[in-house]
Amino acid sequence: MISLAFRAAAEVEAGAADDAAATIIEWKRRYPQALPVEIFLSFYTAYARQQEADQLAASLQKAGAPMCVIRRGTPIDMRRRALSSI
Amino acid sequence: MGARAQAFGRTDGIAPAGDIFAVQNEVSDGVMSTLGGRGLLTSLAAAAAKRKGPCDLEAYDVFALGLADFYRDGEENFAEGIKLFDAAIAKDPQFAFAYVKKAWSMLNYTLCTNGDIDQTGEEFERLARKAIEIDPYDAEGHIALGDKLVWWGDFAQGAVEVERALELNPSSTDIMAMSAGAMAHLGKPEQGAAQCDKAYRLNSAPPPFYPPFCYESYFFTDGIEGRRKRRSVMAHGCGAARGVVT
Repeated sequence: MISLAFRAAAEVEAGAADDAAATIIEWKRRYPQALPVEIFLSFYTAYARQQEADQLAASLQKAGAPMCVIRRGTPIDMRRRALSSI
Repeated sequence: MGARAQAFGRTDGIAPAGDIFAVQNEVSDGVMSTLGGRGLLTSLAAAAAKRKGPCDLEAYDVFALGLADFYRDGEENFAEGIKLFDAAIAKDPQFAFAYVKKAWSMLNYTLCTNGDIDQTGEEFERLARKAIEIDPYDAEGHIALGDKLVWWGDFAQGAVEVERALELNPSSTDIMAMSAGAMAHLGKPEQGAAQCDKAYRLNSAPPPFYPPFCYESYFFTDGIEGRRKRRSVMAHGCGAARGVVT
């Protein structure tokens, strides 16, 4: 799951949006119970600095990864809200 | 002008002695990393072990066969590798590196099968600590423990173990790459990317597990062009056709 997340993020940031979308589909196929990005970042990765988590969240959102909330706020705001609800 | 002097940007035709020694060190590190570590020579040992009868296999033979499976990638190969590392440990309970590679195989198997990662993480840590207990001066146990602790959020203790591994074996490209796997999490992706660059430069036959240790640092430090160039590092996952997750 982690490698697919980074692959999608890297593809979209390299301008390969179609490849990123395909990787997200692969992510959902292999992990049908796939957790939203905010939860993925909270439970499957740990970063000492917030900036890495924010950058990854932003790239994954750009790639079309499943998010808890998609209309308002920055990715990190969404992540904080998601965490506060657990 | 001599090629070496030119390489160092000198116009007087003389390469600075200090730089020459640095190059010599880098060349010797490269040769050592390509042949040694647990690379080419282990592959040769695996090939020799395949020619032996089952009763003639020593612990290192079984270990080399396990490592060959480990490098093949895919859940079946990781599962087979775990069995072989267990067999190597049964033959030699003090074989520290077999514990470490069993730990990595278990983690990969769990990632490939979407298993219980926290449960495997606990066993991974136990195996890494066992390897350190057997041989506290082998960097492999320390880097395994350091990566695990960092990935699970214990940055302070994890960083100590990662630094210890780099102190014990600063010339190993395997240790350079594996410690890079912790750097992005420790807020040092630039250092991780530099270590990966060096590991790839020095080791002319890099094992297939380098990409997953490098992609995070590359992702956080590269610009768009860099990411395009490094697509091969990013495009990996479980399954032999696409590379190896370690």
